[in-house]
Amino acid sequence: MSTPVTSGNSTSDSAIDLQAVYKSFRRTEVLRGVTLRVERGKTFAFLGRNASGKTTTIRMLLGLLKRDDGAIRVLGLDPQREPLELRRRVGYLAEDQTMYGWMKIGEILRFVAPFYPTWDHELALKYVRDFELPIATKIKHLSKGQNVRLGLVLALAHRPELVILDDPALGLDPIMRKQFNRDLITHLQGEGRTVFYSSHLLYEVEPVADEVAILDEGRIVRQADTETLRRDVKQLILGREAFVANRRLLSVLDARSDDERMVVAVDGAAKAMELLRYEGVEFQVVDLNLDEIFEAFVAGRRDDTAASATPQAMLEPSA
Amino acid sequence: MRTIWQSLAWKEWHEHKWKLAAILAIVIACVAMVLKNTESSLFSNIQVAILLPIIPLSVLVATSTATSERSRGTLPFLASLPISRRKVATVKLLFGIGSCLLPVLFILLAIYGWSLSWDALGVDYRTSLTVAARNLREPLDFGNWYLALGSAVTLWVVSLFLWTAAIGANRADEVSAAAVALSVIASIWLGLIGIGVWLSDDQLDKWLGQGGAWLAALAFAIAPGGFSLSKELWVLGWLAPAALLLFVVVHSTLAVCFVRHFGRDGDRFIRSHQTATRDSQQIDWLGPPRQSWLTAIAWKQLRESGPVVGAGIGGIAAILGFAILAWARTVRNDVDLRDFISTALFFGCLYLGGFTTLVVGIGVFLRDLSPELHTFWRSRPISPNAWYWIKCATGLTIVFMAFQLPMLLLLPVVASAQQAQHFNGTPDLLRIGMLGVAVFITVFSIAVAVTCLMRNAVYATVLSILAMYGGTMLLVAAVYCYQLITLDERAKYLLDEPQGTWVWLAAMMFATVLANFVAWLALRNDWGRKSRY
Repeated sequence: MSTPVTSGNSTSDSAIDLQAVYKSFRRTEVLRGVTLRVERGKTFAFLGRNASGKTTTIRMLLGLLKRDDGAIRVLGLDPQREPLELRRRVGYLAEDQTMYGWMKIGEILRFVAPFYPTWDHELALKYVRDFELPIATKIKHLSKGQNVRLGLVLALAHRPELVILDDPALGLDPIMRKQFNRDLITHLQGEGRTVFYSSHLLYEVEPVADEVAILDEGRIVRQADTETLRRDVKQLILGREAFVANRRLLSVLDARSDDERMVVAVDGAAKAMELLRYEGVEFQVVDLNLDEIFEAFVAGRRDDTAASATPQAMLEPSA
Repeated sequence: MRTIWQSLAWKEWHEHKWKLAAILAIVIACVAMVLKNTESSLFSNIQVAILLPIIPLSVLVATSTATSERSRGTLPFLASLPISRRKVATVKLLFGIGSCLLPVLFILLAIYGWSLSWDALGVDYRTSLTVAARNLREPLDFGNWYLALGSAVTLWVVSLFLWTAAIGANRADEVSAAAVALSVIASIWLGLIGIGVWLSDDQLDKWLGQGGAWLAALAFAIAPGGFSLSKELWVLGWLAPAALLLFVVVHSTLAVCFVRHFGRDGDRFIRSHQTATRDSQQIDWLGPPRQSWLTAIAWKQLRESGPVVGAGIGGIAAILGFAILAWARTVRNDVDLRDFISTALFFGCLYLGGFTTLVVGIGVFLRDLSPELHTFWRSRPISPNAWYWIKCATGLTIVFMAFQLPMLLLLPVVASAQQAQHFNGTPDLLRIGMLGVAVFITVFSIAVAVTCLMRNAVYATVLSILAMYGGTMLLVAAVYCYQLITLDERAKYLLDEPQGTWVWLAAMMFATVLANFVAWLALRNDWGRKSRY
């Protein structure tokens, strides 16, 4: 049973607030107590592997799916109770979004406009020009990149307070992805809008994200701002024996052996380094990018689960 | 391990098994309707009951064979497999034709088995069988009703199926394939009929006698489904091998055409930046937004239903043209032109309008509920209630304006013409008009409801027909039960005129309300089959 949520104050600081949200499809539990908060004006990267529950979360944020339990507030509104009011204030670009192929670009803009009270037709035309979209062309004739850009125009032209992008650059080539991110920065971050950006292509969101949440198997395994995450999660290279001796003191995300050394990804790097120094252990520190941090959280947790059955297995040299 | 053929056959079996079951159910239902007839016309009625549904259903299944892989987006996957697309197409063709013919074979065997029990019971059915066999127009003279009907159905199905599949191959979806294929088939037939009508009876006899029969026989062998109608030419005897050969050559060519082209130009709209820019005039001007969400939804529905209604109107225009031609060539001295044209238009609107209403009803939400487009409109601030009712109202208004209104306006003229020729007494125009409108609205509503639940064009068509049939049978059964319970002999006349009008109207109103309620709930709550595949 879902927790009742009263219509809240839309001027509160958080654009999105999820509290212990659960969702199952028949016997498959997709979300297991997801809790996260997105502050207004931030670009929030929602990371997760395929089938980790990202799209389900987004569909619940828009009121397209009902939660089984927990509470959701988006712009102070309960998506289940006020879906239409919410969608008027949110811009949404779905993963691999398909639009009516028989409509021309100009026609779909004119069609969608009356549904949004805040629709700015001049702004729509500006975006169309900026994105070099052929306005008299039917949507079925557009390239993939043009299709994504048109989706972005439709998501932005009503000046939404919150923009939700569900793997929008999926299927684009690297150049198009870069262009898309450039457009994103220009048109959204520049205007101080809140962006909820779901993706599994981490290098793509790294340059634009202020804050990151990592979703794995229906649970948020880490939420922090990007800088904190980079500062907290680091790779330590130390001797095998030193690692075995100090393993319990470290918050290990992932570990693999490299000859006589262990390469270990740890959360709470500052504390770990302090402890290792105190123990007189020699080690090297390597900074990780978001991609590697994500891998440490997601892949490492799986290895850890497997390794917990055979603790020595983790210490065997990798092939 | 399975061979390639086995794998393909397994896939097609799973894609066709429900179609086969649905066709079987429809044919059984149609045959069941005439079985209570025990007089001499029993077998004639059975053959009509089999041929009537199987002909449109074969076209329907053929459109699915021709386009389903593309419409559901599985063509690229199929193309990526290390097998020849020709093998895929061949198996699809065999299973498609098989799913139309097997139900008929089953019915014929069942009737044969049943007739054996009639022998034991001493029921005389042979007269009816002989009459039916004699009247059946089929080119291969077997002297046996079962074989004759079987061969006639096979010729119809194979011919229409191959024509439809070849014409509709690689179209975007089933509706588009059906529209194009039916237009071509109708054009061929209208052309042949036009030639026939243009020549007066004397001229035609003279022409046939002078060697024109060759051409006529060959034309019938080529025309979609024509060979099964060529009995009268078949008696010319020596034309048989040539016509048969031509039939085989033409239809083999159609089959080869389908197999060779299947999936080849499936993505004819090249999605590229250059193409998109080159193909369009870069107009840097954007029209104003639609005035309201109401007009926006109505505009969208108008654009979506417009082409289908346009095709229906085109068909009626063609009928009108041929009616004028026919009148000029045949009955100009006996029948008033206004009466003749009005009658042709009235029945054109009735039959073609009815079929178009069914197609429009199916099309109202078919694309909106496809997995690709569903999220697009759902994620907008659009009320599903408004979306449902405005789209339905717009679709219904279009078909009403295009077909029902002309029908109602023509009704007095047609009624007076019919009365002058056949009937005594004044026909109740109001009653006929109300029934006509109610039938259209019911057909539309049932089609919408079934589509919202099934989300597939072929299943929606088949199940809509079944639902309408089932509803009619339920009403008949309800009246029968009422008669049994009340022991009131008058109850069996409840469905007869004039009081029957009100019973039928009430039943159709109930069906319309129920269908719309179910459809509205299904759309609002996103019920129904989640995938069309």
